[in-house]
Amino acid sequence: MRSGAATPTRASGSRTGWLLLPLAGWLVAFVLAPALILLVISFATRDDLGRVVFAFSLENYGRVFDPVYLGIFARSVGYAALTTVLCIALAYPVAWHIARLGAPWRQRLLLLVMIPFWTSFLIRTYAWITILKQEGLLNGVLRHAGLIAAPLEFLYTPGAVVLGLVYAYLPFMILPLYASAEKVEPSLIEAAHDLGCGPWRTFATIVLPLTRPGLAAGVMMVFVPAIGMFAISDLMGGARVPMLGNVIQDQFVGQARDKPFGAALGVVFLLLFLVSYALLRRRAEVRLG
Amino acid sequence: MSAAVEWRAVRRRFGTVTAVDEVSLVVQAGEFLTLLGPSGCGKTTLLRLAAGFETPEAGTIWLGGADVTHEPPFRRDVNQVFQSYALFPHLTVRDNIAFGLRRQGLPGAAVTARVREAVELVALQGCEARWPHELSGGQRQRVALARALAPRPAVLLLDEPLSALDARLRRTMQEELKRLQRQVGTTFVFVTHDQDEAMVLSDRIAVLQAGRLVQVGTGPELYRRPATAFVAEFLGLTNLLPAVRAGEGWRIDAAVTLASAAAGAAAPAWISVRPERVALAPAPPPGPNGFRVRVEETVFRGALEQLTVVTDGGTRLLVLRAGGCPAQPGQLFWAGVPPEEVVTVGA
Repeated sequence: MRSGAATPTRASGSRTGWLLLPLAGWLVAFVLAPALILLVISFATRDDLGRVVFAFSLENYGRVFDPVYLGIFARSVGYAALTTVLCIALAYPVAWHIARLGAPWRQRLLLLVMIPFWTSFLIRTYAWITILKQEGLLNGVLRHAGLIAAPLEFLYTPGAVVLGLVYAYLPFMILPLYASAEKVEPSLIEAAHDLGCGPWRTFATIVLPLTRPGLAAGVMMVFVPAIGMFAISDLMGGARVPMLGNVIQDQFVGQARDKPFGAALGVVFLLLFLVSYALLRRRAEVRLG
Repeated sequence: MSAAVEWRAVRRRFGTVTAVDEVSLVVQAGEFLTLLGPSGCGKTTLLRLAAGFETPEAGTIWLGGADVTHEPPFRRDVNQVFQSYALFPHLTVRDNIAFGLRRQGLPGAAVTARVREAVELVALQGCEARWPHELSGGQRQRVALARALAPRPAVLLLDEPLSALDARLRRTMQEELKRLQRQVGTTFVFVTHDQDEAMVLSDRIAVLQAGRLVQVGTGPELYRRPATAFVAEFLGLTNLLPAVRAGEGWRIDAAVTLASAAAGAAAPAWISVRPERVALAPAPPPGPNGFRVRVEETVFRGALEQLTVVTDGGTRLLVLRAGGCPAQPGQLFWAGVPPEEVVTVGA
């Protein structure tokens, strides 16, 4: 964890260096090249048919800062932040308790966390729709129980979007947190209790700092993708609450058909991610001395 | 003296195993008491019950005259030194030691002063800014001690704290622990499976076997007057001999009957004779318990010579004596045991 201990060894000499070629190839083909293509297109313009015309222009970047898009951007960040906070609140107790269990139960519960990945993400989202819609399961249960007279509107609300996001990303918070929590010696918790810490203070002074790497990984895997997620806001928000992902998708395959502008949005989004990642890293390094 | 810790008829089960079975024990304030027994005897569970990490199924735990059976660990005026040390890896030595002090709500200057005091107590000056992973085993041990002592608890609980250290360091730390305890005057409850360590450190020793308390007493008391065969064998070397009552004495075999100073039971029992209490001489000893033996085997043990001798009745005895002129196998001796060294013990 500390910078001194993490110095990479230079074992990969010229003889074993070729082993890195697949990774390098993968990075160039699927990370670097698409990003460069995006960057190039973001400075282009389009013709009336929506085709990309390579004439240098900064106009796309000017449009990114249009209040309409800034609003959408703020909403996306807000939803993603709320999703991340809810995921942390739900995942911590789950990850912690799984990590404290005996091996057989630990494996069973981890399997349960991962089982949703066996089904298509879209199918699971449609399942939520059948639960939440007007004639859906939830309204039916509530009406039969006599709690409500008329069906409530759950679907196509901001709440439904956040619910869908939390549902989709919760495993990505639980798993890294679990990996960190598992490494915390139970005697450290006892020592904290022994030295006068109640449960909350033990969490704040011992558990939180020792699971910080897992938490950082979880935030990265939830917050960033949640900003760009478009399927959930489409399906569960009914396109009434578009997020950044929807706007970008619309430029490429939707009605807007403005690839250069979509590319510019993508580039800005990518830069924002890189900057926040660098800041997070630096803070982590400062804290760990 | 007042009671610092008291277990009253405490019972704790884990599944089908009864780890602690109806144990009642009082530790006096300022005392160094050791819970001694083989692994699985319940000594650590007894300690954890006092710390609050375990709750008894029956019985009560008392600290300083108050029933704390259902108080959580963070409301008990005891601190523990863990077997694995349990130092917080994300905190420096200084912050580890200050951890308990900060919870007490002391002002910053007082915390600094108390940390310095604790660091001096365990001779760790200069290590305050280091991280636990940069320390040696002995140093970690000292940090764990300083961290537990700094909040000045009424009782310090130590769970086999020296077991991870090598033999030499262990002896040094034993001396230091003893000095520390005298210096701070805190009640120490120490858990170990090492009878030697228990003898060196403790004012009193409580011997546990299979979750039950067998005998409590000072080291010499337990060594000279073990209540059971288990205690006699667990503390030091001994000759444990099955014996039957024969007139005034105890018959060991066809050739040897020993007189005992202790008024023993009439029923068949065990006789314990410490190997260093058997005197070997070329002529019959003046006292009552003299009998002939033949040397079977000798082992050189530095300051001592360890001999296995056989009586005319075929009983093997272990004898320890000061090394000098070594005995030869086959050599004949007269053995003598003073009656006060012939101890009858229960099964």
